[in-house]
Amino acid sequence: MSVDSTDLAVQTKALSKVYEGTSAVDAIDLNVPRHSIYGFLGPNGAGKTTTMKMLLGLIRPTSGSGSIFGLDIEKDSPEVRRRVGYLPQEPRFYPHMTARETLRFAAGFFFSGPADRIESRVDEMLEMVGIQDKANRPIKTLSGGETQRLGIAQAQIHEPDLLILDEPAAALDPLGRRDVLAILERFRASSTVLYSTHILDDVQRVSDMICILKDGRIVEQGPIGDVLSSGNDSVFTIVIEGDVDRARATLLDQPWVDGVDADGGRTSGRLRITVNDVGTAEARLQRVLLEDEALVVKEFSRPSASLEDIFVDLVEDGPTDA
Amino acid sequence: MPSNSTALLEARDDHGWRAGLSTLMGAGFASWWRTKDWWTQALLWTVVLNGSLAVAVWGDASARDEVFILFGVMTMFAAIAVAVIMQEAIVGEKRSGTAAWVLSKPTSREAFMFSKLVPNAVGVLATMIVIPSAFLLLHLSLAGIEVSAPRFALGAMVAALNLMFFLTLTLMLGTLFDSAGPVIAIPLAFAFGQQLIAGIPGLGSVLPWALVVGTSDSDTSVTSAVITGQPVEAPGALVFTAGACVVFILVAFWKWNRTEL
Repeated sequence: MSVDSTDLAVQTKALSKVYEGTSAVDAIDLNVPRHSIYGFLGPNGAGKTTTMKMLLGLIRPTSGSGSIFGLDIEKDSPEVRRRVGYLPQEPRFYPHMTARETLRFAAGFFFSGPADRIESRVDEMLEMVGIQDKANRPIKTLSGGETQRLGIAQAQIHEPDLLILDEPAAALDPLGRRDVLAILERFRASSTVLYSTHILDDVQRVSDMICILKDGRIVEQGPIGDVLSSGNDSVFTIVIEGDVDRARATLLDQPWVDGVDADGGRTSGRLRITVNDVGTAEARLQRVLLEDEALVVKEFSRPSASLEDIFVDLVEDGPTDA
Repeated sequence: MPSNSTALLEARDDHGWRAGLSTLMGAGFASWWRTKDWWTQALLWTVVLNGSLAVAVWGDASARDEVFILFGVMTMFAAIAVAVIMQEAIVGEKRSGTAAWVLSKPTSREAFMFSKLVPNAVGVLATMIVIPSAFLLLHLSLAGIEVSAPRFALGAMVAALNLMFFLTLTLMLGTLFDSAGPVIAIPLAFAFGQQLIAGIPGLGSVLPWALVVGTSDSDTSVTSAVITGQPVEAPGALVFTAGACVVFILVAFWKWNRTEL
């Protein structure tokens, strides 16, 4: 997908990080459009957190460059951080502070007053994440889920243009996850959200764009719809009545068919056909079968892949080159 | 587009090394003065200093001169406590992730380091030197021991310099190491190891040890000499300790600016 760089919230060019000869992030080119919810996926150690920390100036890139809203992530780091809200993985806050004091502290980096309006903003955030009844409890008494919610609130305290959330739903129960997804959806109108997660269902539900990292390299990046449709691009499913073996043999004779798996009996069954030329398959597949008058095609479809299938394919066996 | 709730707020406009400084300083001071830390430390060191000196103060009149020697020795224990308290300041925050969280805000690394140095220095000096010393002066006055308040204050400042040595050393080590072990072990080893190396001629008179404990080069500690109005036998210790503090602070700032979190 081609996007004008002025429409991008985050852009990196060959951004890399090497630790003692080992590449943690390897020349990645991220393109995060403004007002998108951008899911950042990959197995543990793929380089997601390192990338996020480079964007925030917490880690220096070994090579390459990056910008956030056109600001250089190294030279303009303080200005970048004014426009970004960050939720770390496993957030930890000062244990001597309460939830309210933590939000007041976070607000203090952005606003100098008036005190009563800062307090209103703190109340608004506490309510947004549903921990207003825990506002005056010390941080150390909050559960993992409550701390995570506080983390989301502090990241959003100044209404950033970009939210960088490292596993925002990791410590949450299903209801907490649902709430977080709803909050992310709400952010879409005013902010861009770049978040990492292992929960692929969540990504499929809320993300506009995804990026899959493997061994520090991008193996897939694009709109979620495109990625999902590309997953099973070359697979067709047909349910037939008639001689299944003969139908299978007929299909395997076609040069644009790579393989046919058959389920069911000898006189009816489901064929899963993998092709190497989607256009020809779309035009010819049913016709080839219907030339045999003894066959009846009951169903014809192209199954949509789940993100999990695509993720597993890419991460386990997929290309290492973007 | 900001919502009404943030549009009505006054945006901060601090840049460079001052970015985030006031917020971080406020939090640093609050961690001392808005928690029980300040009064528990102040109570502890008031009891320790006054309790340990009570024997000399209320006992044999000939032992009264020992009061000020003991004062210096007891502040050496406070220096060890400083190392224990300060080891969490940088390493603890690096390991817990709070440093990364704070530095994801629009703040400078210098502001972060100042917020560890200044509030902790003030907290340590107030609770381990100023408050216990004030009670000690009262204690001495009740015991009828005459002491010049200005000279006693100067002596307390010398003892404070010894505390600053360990505070800045621990702060610097926190930036150099990622685990608490060496950060606490090196100051403790140095604190106790000074006893051994203080016997080396020439060296004893420049170590921080000479500020609060007499050495083979100087029978009377600098603290004790200043309070009692005697000549200071080890002025080199003042210069070395103050210089070391400056070096430790500079190294800490330099390293912290290069630390990846």
